[in-house]
Amino acid sequence: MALTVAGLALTTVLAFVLVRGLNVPDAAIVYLLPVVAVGMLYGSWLAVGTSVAAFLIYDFFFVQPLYTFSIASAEEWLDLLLFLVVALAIGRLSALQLQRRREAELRSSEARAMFAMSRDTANAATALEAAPLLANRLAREAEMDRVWVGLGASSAEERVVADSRPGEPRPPLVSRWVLHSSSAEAQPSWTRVRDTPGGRLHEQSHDRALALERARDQARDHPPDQVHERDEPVTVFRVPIQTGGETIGSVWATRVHGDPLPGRSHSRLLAAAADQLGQSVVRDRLAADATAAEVARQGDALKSALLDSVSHDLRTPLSAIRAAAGNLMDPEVQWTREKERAAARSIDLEAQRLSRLVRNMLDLSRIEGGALHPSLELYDLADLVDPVVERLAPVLAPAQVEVSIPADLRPVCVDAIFVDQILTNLLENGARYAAGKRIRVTASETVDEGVELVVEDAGPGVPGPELVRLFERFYRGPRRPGSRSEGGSGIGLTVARGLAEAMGGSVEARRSQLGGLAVAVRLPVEGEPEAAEETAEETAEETADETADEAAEAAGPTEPAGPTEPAGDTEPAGPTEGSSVAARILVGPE
Amino acid sequence: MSDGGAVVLIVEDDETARVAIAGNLRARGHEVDEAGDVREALRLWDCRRPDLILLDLGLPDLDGQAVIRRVRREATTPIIVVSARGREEDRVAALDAGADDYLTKPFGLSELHARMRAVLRRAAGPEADTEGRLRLGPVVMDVPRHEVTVGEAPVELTPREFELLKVLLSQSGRVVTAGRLLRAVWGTAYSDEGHYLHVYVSRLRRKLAAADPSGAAAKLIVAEPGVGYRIVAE
Repeated sequence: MALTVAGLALTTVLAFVLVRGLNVPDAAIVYLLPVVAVGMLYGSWLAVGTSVAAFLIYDFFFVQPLYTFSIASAEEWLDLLLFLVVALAIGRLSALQLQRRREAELRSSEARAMFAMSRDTANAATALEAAPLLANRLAREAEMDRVWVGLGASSAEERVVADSRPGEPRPPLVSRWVLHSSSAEAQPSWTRVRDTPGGRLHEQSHDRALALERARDQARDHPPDQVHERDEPVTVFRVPIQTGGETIGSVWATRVHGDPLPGRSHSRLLAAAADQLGQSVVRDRLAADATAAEVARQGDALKSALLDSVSHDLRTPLSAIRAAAGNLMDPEVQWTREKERAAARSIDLEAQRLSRLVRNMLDLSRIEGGALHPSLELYDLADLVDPVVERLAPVLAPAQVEVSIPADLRPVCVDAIFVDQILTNLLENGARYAAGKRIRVTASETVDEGVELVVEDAGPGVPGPELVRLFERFYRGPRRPGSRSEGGSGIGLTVARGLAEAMGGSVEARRSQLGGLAVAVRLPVEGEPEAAEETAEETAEETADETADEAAEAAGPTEPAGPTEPAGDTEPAGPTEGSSVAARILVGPE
Repeated sequence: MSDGGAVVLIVEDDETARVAIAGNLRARGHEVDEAGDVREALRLWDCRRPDLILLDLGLPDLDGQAVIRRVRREATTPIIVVSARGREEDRVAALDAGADDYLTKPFGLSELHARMRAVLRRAAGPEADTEGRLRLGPVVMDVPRHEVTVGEAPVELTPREFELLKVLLSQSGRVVTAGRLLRAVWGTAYSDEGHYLHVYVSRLRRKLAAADPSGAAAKLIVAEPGVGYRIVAE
């Protein structure tokens, strides 16, 4: 307004200069300048006002008789009227220009916001990830004080998954404006909803133009609410999130009380955000369904493959057991002691085979279910290997098993039961394919200070390309004439790999120097490789400790002396331990 | 071997297994009582005072540990517990409560015989001779003089290695749990330092092996994976 007055004053000065100074006969056209300017800057109504003001000013200052609003000649009248018409038209045009520009800006910012929101949704993996991005963007783009997203079938069940101002208390939702999503494209239609003290929803539809006014009336009609409304610092808006006619949540937004309802563009943004969240939730549900279906399918496939695979292996020992037991029970037959023992031995061996198979089946299902919990402890590998080889000797016959484990091998940090099972499976596998030839079990330290246990056989081996498939579930080696049986269940090596990996180890298949297959199991060891200084330090601590120990014993009732500093002594003994122990005794107090 | 003559109480709820084992032990000359649950087991314990108890830990009425606690309050009768694979913690608890040895199901009868022989022999013989000496195979430990010899060769042990060997020898044939060894040798605060024990057992084995050219002493200390150690001469 002030600028308009200043513009008019400036124009009047200019007109005076032109008319009085330069003798320009008609300066009315100069007054079109402020009209255009005002129209472009402030819009239509002010442009009309400026036109009329310009008309009056020109009449007053420059039309005879001067300094009155009367006009002498008819010609002047015509000029002035024409000026007014032109001024009005130009003002209006400029104003229209302004309006178009504003609309274009609004549309482009809306389009930008829409695009950004769909990008947010597309980039987010789930609705829960998309919601905070959308809430923050809406708060900015739709000029909302605060935006939050709740998911749930009704307002009461909703769980807030995103908030543009997290942590702050949310306003009471007693009364709110609800956007009808169906009208998102046309004129936005907000409906006022309030929870009455009776707990029911009181809902009334409004034209947008009348909405605020009616609301005020309504507030006046409901005195208790009026009090409440005065306490409410903000106006709450709710846009339901719907998919397939079902409400699954809401986008909530607030503006400071007294601000206008969201305009078309902002309402569209809110509606679009709700739509995108809805689609995102649907996408999540579909993905979850698909995953569950896949898991179930794989589980079923595994079970049936497992049953297919083991049913033969289960039946073979069972028939052998029944045949041997049947023989023993047969009253018609007189068995020699020798034959009886042989029958009993075969029952025993077959039962052991069954027992190993059952263990493998259980282990496989634990591996698949991720339910393996190794309890790692330090062991000398020979302590674990020897009993297994001894136990399996009758099963492995006629194959001969050689075991060679260096006495000074680094201790391994493993679950003893897992190692037992791995070795059992490898030996059994070796015996199956080695067909009575040699089986060798060796252990060695690898270059990177790990320990590798290798089981190899002198059997026909596995062709190179097949090696990688060896640890796959239900893989059976190629059938060979002369092999003792038609292959195992195809789970033994899979279980070996699963158990090794559960302990932090690994398995690898390669060609053996004996001609057959070599399976190498890398077993974890404890901590870092022992350094020379550490050994020396340990020796020193040990000596000091022994002195203290001895002193305590000499002093009388033994107070349990603790071991040396755990950090120094828990380090497993290295290969040079033997000599360092001998040295220690010589310098010790004994 | 002829190791009959003992009164054995078998506590096992699976009748087939119990009857089979009982039949075998009777055939080998033992007197056998059978119980299917804890109540029956305790009743038989009270009226029969068996020489050995074979105890399945998974019983229908009460935990098998109840039997161990009750028996240990009254006697040192050897107890061999039987547990299923995957229940290692039960086994350790039973051994700590006073059981002498364990078997894992399914087990063979030859394993059972070996374990029974070991615990019966231990129960029969004195733990130390009149001069306070503990013996096992080639190993002789003179406890009062703090001396250990293998064969005739003296072995120098640190006080803690000596203690460790003493605990194992005094329980010879029995499984001693890692926790019990640690408590006995280092004290209660160290019952979880399993890695420690491994280091000391390794040293002890090496020293015994070094003193015995025949190599028999190297295999005296046997690891019982997940449970502990035992010293046994085979």
